Amino acid sequence: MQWLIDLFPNVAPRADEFYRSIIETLVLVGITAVLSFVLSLTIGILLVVTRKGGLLSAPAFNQALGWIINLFRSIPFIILAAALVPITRAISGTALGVQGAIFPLVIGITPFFSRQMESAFLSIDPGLVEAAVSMGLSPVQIIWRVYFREAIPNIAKVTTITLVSLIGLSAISGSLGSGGLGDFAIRYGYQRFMFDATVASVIVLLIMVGFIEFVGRTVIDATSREVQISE
Amino acid sequence: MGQDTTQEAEASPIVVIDKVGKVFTGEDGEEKAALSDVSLSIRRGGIYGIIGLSGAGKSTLIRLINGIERATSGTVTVDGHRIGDLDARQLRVERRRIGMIFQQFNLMPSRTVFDNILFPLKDSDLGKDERRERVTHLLSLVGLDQKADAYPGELSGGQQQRVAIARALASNPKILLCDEATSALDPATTVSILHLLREVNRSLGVTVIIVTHQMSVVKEICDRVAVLDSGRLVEEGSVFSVFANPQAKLTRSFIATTSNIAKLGELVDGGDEDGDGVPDGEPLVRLKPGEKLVSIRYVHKGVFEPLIATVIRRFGVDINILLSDVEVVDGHPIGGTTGIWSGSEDGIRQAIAYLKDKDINVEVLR
Repeated sequence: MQWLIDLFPNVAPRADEFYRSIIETLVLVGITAVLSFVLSLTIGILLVVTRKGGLLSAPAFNQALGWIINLFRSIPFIILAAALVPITRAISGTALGVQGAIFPLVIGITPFFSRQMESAFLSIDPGLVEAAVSMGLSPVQIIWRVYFREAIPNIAKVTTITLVSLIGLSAISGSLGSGGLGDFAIRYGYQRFMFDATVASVIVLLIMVGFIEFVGRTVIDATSREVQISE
Repeated sequence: MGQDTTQEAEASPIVVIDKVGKVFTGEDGEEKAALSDVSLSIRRGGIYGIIGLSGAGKSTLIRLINGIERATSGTVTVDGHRIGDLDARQLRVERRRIGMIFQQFNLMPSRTVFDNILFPLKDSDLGKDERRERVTHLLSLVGLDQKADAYPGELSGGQQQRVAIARALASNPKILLCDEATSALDPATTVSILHLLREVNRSLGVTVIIVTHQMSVVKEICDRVAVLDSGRLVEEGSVFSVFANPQAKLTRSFIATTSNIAKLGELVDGGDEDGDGVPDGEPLVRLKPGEKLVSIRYVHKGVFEPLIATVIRRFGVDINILLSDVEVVDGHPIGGTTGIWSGSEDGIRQAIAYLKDKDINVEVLR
């Protein structure tokens, strides 16, 4: 193990802190992903079914929802997170640490994730929906049995893309004191010029991204029955 | 099977479309009439064709029957229920008794053939075993027993349409709507799908309503046909009478697409041997003295006698048949033959009188 200590002279003495940062990133990304997935699935399907001529056509609602999403998407994350601090404090009790980072991350990633989900559902052939309507299925049944079920490969694809973006966002929130690998890399690698701390963080993040893409690809391959979806 | 249903049910039409209009409003608020004042009634247990060019409103018309489209004016009555009066829940119940198949099949790509047919049975009262039994039965009905575990993407277009038919029949519908169901298929597959639809109609007593732009489809299996032109009904009647005696110009042009009688016009109007600007006819139809170019057409049911042979034998007329276009529509021969007749003037006159007496339409072209 001597070679590791040689390669990462500044990380080795802070190994405990480094491991804790990894766990923090995993927890931060994991909890945010689950919350945002549920929200984005809901918003994404609403964006599709409330379109004019959609299953539950409500053009005014659709426009308002799209407008709100675009508003949040247009704010850079670091500014959004700073602006949300009072609300974050009210909801999470603190604006610091993992606990304080989840809320701004969910707000930061959900607009993007929702648009991704929307595109996943838009890829469903309207003919499938019409067929289900003609069979006498209710809108809720069609959402579950056609939109959600038939879009699984596309949902897996956009979730993979979003999780990778989320890891990026979680690192940015590190600069706001959220903890995690971003925090570790900024505090030691950037502010104290310990370049090996940056490198170590990058390597772990790369492994995480690689793992997410591997899982995503496996799910897509296992569920896709049509011509392979290209990245 | 028409004979099995009671006389009373036989008499009441299953679908009545009464003075229906449908107006679509575009993005710019401009109104466009897809259907205007369409009235027709569809007999229980029959195979009804609705034909028209693209944009004629036929897809809109068929969607009025299961309420996917709502009429702007007029009423649509299906089996005694006014579709326009049903609320969303009642409409869904009604839809379970109206199957529908589509041009692009619309099978669920992530589900196997078996699960696709099972799909509409999810909320049925049948038990799990009964459902599986029903799916297996339907699979064999459409001849795809071997493909239960295949995915739609692995099947040919014809096989996919067979699965779609099985799926549409799963909930025991009384009506099967077919929206351009054969338009994406090659001619041989089209015929096999049409035969399957006829079998479904006969063995299950399902009323089949077919929207198409192909007259050959109507000719192959329909017993009645409605012709739509720019949202208006221009002709309606039994397929035999419409083929024998088309009234609307559009109907005639549809019929021309399925017959080769149009070629005759080319023969008669072509060739200008002496260069005087007046067509002399192609060499094939050029007549010698005493010959006549005669076209006979069957326009009534019940022509079973060997008419041409009789004419030749009894009246001493030789007939050189140039074009023959006899086909069987709805179980009766329809069409006619065109040929050069030669013989004594008397013989030809008597022969023509004889045929006219038999209700045959005779036309001396030159």
